[in-house]
Amino acid sequence: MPTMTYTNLATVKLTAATSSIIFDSVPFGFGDLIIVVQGTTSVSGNGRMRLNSDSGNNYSYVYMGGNGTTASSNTATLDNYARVSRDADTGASPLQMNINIMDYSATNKHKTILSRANNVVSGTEGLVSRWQSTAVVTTIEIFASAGTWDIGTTAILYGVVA
Amino acid sequence: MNRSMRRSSINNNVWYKSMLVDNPVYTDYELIATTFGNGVSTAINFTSIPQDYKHLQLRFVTKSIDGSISGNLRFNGSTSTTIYAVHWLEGNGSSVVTNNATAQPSAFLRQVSVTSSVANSFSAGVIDFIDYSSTNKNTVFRAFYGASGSTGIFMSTGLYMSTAALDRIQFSGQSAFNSASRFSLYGIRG
Amino acid sequence: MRLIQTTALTGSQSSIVLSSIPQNFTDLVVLISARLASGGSGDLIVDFNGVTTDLSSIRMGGSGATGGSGSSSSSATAIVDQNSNVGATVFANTFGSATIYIPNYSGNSSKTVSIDSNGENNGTSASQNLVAGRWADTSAITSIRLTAEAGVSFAASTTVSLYAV
Repeated sequence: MPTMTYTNLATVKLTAATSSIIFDSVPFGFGDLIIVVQGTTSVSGNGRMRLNSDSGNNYSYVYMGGNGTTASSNTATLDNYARVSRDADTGASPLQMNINIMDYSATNKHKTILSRANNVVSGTEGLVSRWQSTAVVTTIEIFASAGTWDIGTTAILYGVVA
Repeated sequence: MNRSMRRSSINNNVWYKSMLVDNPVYTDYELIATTFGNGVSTAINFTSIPQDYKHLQLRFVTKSIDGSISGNLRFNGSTSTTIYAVHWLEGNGSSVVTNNATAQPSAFLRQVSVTSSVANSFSAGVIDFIDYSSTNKNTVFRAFYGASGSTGIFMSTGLYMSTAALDRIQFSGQSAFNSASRFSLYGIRG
Repeated sequence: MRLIQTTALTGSQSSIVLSSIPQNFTDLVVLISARLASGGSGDLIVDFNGVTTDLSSIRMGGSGATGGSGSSSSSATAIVDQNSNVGATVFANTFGSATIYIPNYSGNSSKTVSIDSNGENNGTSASQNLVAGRWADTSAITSIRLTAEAGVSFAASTTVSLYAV
């Protein structure tokens, strides 16, 4: 039997508005996780992530992005969420996020999250975030800075064997 | 082994378990090899890279043993002093800057580790080599990588001025990579 | 991830069309190794189903200049990735590369596109681009057209691989 290296683990498509999309009981045994999110929110805001329900000030990030006029970069430490989309205006124009959680099951590393986020209203960005925990990632929460994810928003979780 | 997840914690939503069951298996994205740092060697090598893929992708999570942060790529064992060029776009937390290095003995990667003061923090990235086995193209790569808690987020691109098929990749640091550093090479069929 | 089709040009061509895209997957990935047949700025233009309306994009990138700054631009009429190819006069045998990711391509909502791309050469200027694109059309994507900028063609050996996830 051929080995699936790039595996769809779960797909979510919202049939009702929700504040958070949650993947729990993430299976062990892959190297990296990839999450592809596409959707809109009830109000404009940026995309955020928490791992293992940790809402402590255990996240930091750096991003670079462009809004169609200016390129900019920013950083923050001791946030209570990982930034996976800095300035994307989710309003009526869909936000797309391609998120990599690298070595999610390693117990000797903080978790590094690489993200590409796009929205033609507000911009395109590359971000790196860090979750300051060596715990295995078992739960992934994706939420917006304001409002709820709209009906039709999708999120797909993939595992990549390493 | 079926790696399907249990139910996602969402109400009023369509959700799907793993799509593996009863689905045909597509393997056009394949793991070629994974290797780790050893705390001693400053470089890891992927050798005898199969030539029957169309593209390669290298995924890494790395940390040096002493906090030195930059790294280099070399291809096909070449140590010619002027055969590489790199360009990069960098978000350093306050501005987006660009830079380059031409006619070099290796392809410079700006940050493949994090300073020692940030324990357990690693740099991570994805490097794509599109059409790597072509013998009428120089090797070109694009890397998206970075680390929070240190310098920043990067897109680096590089040129190896040789049309030889890429069959060896050396990934090196200023010092040794620690034993938790992981390098995985994937082949993509085309 | 499944290979759908690969195209490799044997001669210069102004555009490349990936057609008859099957509708039983979720996302599409396009991997491109491209060069222009003659000089030009190297823009890569993307549209779908032969339709050239309801397209827009924002780009952020750099020229690789020593001590330079990133820049950003936008288009209200096209999905355009600036300078992703390498002009024929810049550096021999060198092709730019691009990765395009399109989620939910067969769905009935607006389509989003993510593009990462670069040129390369042994000089001080080579592009790195991040692009956000949108096709505000609810049709399923059945074909993708990649076009070099107006009046310029892709060179022979330009290759495009389409995958479905």
